[in-house]
Amino acid sequence: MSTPSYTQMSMELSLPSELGYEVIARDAVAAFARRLGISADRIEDLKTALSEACINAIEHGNSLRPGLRVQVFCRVEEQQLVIEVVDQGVSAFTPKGEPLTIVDKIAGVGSLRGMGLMLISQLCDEAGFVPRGSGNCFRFAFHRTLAPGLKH
Amino acid sequence: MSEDTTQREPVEKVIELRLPSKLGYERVAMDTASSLARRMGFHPDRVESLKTAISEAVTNAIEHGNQHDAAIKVVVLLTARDDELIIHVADQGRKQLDQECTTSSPTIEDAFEREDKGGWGIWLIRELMDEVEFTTAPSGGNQVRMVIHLEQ
Repeated sequence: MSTPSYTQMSMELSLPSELGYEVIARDAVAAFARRLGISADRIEDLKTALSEACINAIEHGNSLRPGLRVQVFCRVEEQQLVIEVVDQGVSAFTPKGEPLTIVDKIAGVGSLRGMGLMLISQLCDEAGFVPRGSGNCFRFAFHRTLAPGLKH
Repeated sequence: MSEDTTQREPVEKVIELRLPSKLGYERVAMDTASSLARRMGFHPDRVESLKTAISEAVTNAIEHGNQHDAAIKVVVLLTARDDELIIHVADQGRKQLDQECTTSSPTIEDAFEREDKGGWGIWLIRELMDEVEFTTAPSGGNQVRMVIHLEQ
């Protein structure tokens, strides 16, 4: 039995595009991350980020339309776990410039909602939408060796 | 789809999980299924039974059906209905499951003669789940379909 290469250690998850299923995705990916030796603190961050990304996909990308799916791809690289959340692109993500900071939000600039993407980018080591043929693909990554805590 | 509620089909929500064929990753299937089952309202004892049955089914798929080849996947489908949870576990059939094993009960005497003391998995699955069916996919893979009823 040979040692599997990192690229073989991938997992795919496909869910109904319905609010509530992000919790199942969260538990599935947390279990996967634990197998990779990611610390408990970072797994909590990962769970929050994944929930937000799935909710974005369900509410925005799939526009809460019933019968659609959300896919979660977990790819293991030597240094990091890369997670992609893919929706069916009912509504395409359009960047609206630099996201507001939490200070701006508290100061009343912009809506108090819509903090999901900002939150994800604070929790992950890398996050953003990546081009894809169809649907929106939000990619975020967690270093496998990083000490617990937020990024610096 | 028709909105006719008089001939309503059971509402089905399917979660698909594709896991690397490496021992340890059965935990991802266990945690995903238990997350779903808890939210469906299964009693904690039944959730534990479900986790044990899934663990046995996925371990069989990794060890036997997929011969520990991490590059090929074990596919787990979780179908949530109003009154039951259906679990399908499928492998790629590198080794065919002896159909005789799926119906016979092991004996303590036979088990002791085996070096690994194993061979109880299928028996255990049958004891723990309400319905169990072993089949071969058209592609040649082994499949097991397990059903656990939700008692109200």
